[in-house]
Amino acid sequence: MKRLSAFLTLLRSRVKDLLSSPRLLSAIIEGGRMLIAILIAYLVAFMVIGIVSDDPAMAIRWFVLGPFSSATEFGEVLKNATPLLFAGIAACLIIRGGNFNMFTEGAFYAGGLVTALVAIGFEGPGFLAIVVPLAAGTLAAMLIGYIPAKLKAKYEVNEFVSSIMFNFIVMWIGIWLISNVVIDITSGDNATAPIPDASRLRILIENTNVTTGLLIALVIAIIAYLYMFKTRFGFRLRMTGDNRAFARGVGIDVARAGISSQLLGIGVAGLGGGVEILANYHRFNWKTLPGFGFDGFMVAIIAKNRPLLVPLAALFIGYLRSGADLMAFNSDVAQEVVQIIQGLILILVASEAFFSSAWFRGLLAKRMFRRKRFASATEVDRHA
Amino acid sequence: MREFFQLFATPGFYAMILQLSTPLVFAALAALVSNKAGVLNIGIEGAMVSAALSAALLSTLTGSAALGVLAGVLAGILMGLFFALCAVRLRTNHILVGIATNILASGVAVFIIYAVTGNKSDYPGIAMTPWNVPILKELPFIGEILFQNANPLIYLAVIAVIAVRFLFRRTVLGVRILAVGKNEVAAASVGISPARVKTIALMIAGGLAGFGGAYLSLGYMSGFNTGMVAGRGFIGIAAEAIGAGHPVATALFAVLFGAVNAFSLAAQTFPSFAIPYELLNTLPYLTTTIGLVIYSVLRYRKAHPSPTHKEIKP
Amino acid sequence: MSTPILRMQGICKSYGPGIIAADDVSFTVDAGEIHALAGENGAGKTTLMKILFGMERPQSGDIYIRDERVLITDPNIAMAHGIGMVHQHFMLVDDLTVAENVILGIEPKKHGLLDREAARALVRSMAEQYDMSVDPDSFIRDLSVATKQKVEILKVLARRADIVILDEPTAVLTPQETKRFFEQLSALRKAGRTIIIITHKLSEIKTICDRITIMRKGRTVGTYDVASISEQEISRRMIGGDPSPDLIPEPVDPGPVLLSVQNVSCIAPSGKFALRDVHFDLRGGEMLGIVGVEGNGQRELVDILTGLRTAYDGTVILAGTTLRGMSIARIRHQGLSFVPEDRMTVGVNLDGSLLDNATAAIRDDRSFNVGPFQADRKLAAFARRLVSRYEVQHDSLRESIRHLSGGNMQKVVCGREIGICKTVLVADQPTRGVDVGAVRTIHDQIESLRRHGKAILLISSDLTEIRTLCRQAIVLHQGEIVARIDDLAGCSEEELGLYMLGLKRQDGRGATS
Repeated sequence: MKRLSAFLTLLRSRVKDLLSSPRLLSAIIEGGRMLIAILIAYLVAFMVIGIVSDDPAMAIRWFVLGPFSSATEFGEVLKNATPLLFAGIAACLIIRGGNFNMFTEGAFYAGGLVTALVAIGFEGPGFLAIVVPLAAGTLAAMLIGYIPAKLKAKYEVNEFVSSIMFNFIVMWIGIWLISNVVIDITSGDNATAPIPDASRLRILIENTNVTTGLLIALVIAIIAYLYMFKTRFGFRLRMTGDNRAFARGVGIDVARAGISSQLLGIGVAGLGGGVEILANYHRFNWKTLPGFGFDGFMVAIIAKNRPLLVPLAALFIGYLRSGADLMAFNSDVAQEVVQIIQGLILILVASEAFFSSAWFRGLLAKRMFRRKRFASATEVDRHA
Repeated sequence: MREFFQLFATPGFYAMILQLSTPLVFAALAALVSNKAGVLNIGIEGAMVSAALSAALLSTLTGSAALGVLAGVLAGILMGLFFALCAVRLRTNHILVGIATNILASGVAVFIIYAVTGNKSDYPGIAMTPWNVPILKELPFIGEILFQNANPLIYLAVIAVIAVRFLFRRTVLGVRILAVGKNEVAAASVGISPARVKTIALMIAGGLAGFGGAYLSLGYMSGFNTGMVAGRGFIGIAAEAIGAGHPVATALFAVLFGAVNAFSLAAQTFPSFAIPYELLNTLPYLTTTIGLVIYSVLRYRKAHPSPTHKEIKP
Repeated sequence: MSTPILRMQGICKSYGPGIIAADDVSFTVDAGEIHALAGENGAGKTTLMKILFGMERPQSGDIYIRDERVLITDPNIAMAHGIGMVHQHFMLVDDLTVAENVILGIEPKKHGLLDREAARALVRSMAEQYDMSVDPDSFIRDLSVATKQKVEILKVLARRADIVILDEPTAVLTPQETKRFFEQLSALRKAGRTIIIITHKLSEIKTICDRITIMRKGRTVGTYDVASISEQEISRRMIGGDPSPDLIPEPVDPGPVLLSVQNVSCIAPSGKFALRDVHFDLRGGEMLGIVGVEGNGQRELVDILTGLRTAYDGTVILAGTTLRGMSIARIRHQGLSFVPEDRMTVGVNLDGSLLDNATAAIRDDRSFNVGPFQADRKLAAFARRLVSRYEVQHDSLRESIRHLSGGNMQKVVCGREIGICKTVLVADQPTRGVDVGAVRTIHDQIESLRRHGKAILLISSDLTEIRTLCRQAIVLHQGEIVARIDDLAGCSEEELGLYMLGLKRQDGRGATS
């Protein structure tokens, strides 16, 4: 019994030591905030489902458990997560560089289109049939994305507005191309010719739609991590994003750092578009923007702009999507309920006031004083 | 080319400019009010989407277009309040709140339509009855543009420009919004609550965006569809940026973008003017970008004067 | 006479574990007196006054006004109780006019609308009553520092404040402006207002104040009649012991010219000259002070020397090479380093870690890179050496620099910049708002850098700092050098003040302008 209590005291002091480490503490607070945010968002979503559905229990069951019902369904989660992973990494690079360049959206479109066109026209041997189209798509996206990035760096043209305008321009030019110039009439659609089999990405896991694209995405995540946190270029990017004036003062070329962060992000998004097309489409036939660009910003924020956490965040959103698809297929609730969850999580996670560490510190300070006053009061008693 | 000149001689073209400018003017004014309060409000697009849908919904529900517009404005104000709660109370980055409100608005819109009708793209609405102003409508050319079949909200857009100008020049609230927007700490030090002032400003902005959204679904078209706002909120933000915070200049730039939009639509009907409509559709976005770039370059030049200039004597 | 108008008791305030700003502080002020709240930087004076003004909430403690207990949770309530505060950093909206600023929050109305005419009339009548002339229609951004301060005081008076708190009011004023300001304060006292001045300048306390409360490290040391306590005694109680011996710069033989500024001019956005034909040489082993009221070209000069500004006429030669066309990185590579004036936005990256901030200037150095990657261990070792040499109090190198006190932050900035300095150090307000211990550390390090043959340009609005560290100085007025002083010891503060205000110039033109 005595031993047990001694052990408990030891354990308590160990836990106390651990808790007083500020980095661990903030990691715990961050994780807790994330969980609470997700819970709140789910609660709201369930309430909404409860209101609109005739059989909410079934809808919710499909939504929450559906993705785990079979390997094929879980494969859908991974498939959905792949473009989100690219988009999330792209957004990490851009946000950490201090910009809100939304051209990742257009980059997915342009990257996908150019990749498809090059794959159709270029019939290289072996793996070149995949690498060359993807490289072409990436470069094409970067080439267009250079314009808003450069304009921001040189003349402080608001990159958010200009990049959104560019998205629409790229989309309409793309639609024009696939309905007039590169249209394949035999498809019965406004679409390109079919993508040759040699260029299509191989299935990674049998009985699922998971392709090697997932591996490419994971490699990109690791490279992005190394670039951002282990090289001097990454240091310049982070300092510029945190505080331009500071970065400039210590001799960093902030214009260059800003442009390269946006270009790299847009390149990753362009690659993501190409991978998406080579993995899941027989022809390029997009008539709207895919929406991955905006999703990427959400994934990045949930991942706290850390490339190594992006796969987790992408997986989570991919899971949400798959569940929503299953729910929409098997019940009377539209999958757009996901957007409600995503919007709420985004706001709560990015909020500085929602269970913030500053709020937490304030709480600790209050407790400290209370204890101190109690101590001084007893001291006075003792003197008396 | 003949069609080109004919177009500029048709009053219908100018009437179309007014129609296409109206939502942009409302959006730009919404951006202006938010900006004056120190908030970059990306959520205008989303506020317009939810306003357009609410207007369509309520107009069919009640059979009254006026109630529809009212519902649209209320939806806009609510979106403004939501933005304020997130940005001001929860202190979330403004751009992220904007992205989130836009995701939420479009998601909820589709969700609601699907729940009500079973389809996912559009919902009918009861259009407002256009006004024909007696006597004035008989005026040659001008009458046809301004006073025949004119939607009341077009006139309201003009009034809104004046009202916003009045707000910042003559009212206590206006001065407080300016103070909060320029120096929040200073405003707080004299007992003004920046959170409250920002919330009010964002609700006004939301209401303005609400008019723009309601106009789209009950004036410009009769009914809601999911792609109808089509970046107009963002074009409004660009017009505000180029207008440099002046309500009248902002509105004029919004009209300029409306004119380009009208031209791109009209040009699609030219038989001999063979530009595919997809490319014409890029025009509004292209001009907005170009306008924004020109403005930014001029601003940059002004902020970085050349040292060899001689001193200007006052 | 001595009826307390204000009593604060048992005030405790902490900004988080370990950061205590006020620890059981008590403070009493009598009606109609000028009361000094004195203490070193970081002693908790400003925090105490912010609590009184409702801008900060204490964890515990009570406030009594005219023996009535009050709960002040925001500035509105403080103002309703007749308390007004002039902050050290002016709380004015640059893009509004004087009248708009004065009436902000208490706007006069007519038919529910803003009554601008009444606002103007109010400013005019108050300006006349208290002898503080100012044009109600001019924009704040066009005003001088001294005039901005007048507007701040008018703002407080317009709210009918009986208790006026002034936070370091003379920090930005010349000796002449200070004198004039004190006359206005005496007039206010005569009109029955109670004034609390936060300050650490002993001479001012002696000149104008009736009583003094001294604070040290978040606690009250005591309250005294100014007449009954000597300057030495005040100083001892502020520091908590005898002051450390003064720093006495050791003369060294001047080295080669490291920085040569030749006929440099530049234009402000307003179209006026921000700098006009500025000309000076700086040798190794020399420390040159730049004296002047803020906004007279100091910022432009610093920006040009550090490469932040490239639009200028004239020539700057750094260690034999012209500066024109050099990037900031290149200039720093030439050995010029820079302690910026604005610590919180330019000096440090608040979102970065202590490590990031300490090593930001050496990241490109070959010895800290292995191939494409950074040598993380070496970087950490460098940062560790820096924090131990400058005695930076911290938990870990990876913690956010945001959690450090202002003094520790500034030590990191100075350590980073002094450490890489090979030719010239530009130190812009290196010790502003920093606690005494840190001031001494920073001064010692700058002085030792000079002894090692580097050239130092010291820009400071604190004349005492310039007089302690520098032998030579130049005075800037409206972008021109109006005086060059070779031996500061032989030049009185009053004379410097006349130069700073442009009332006197060495070329004798001052009398006519």
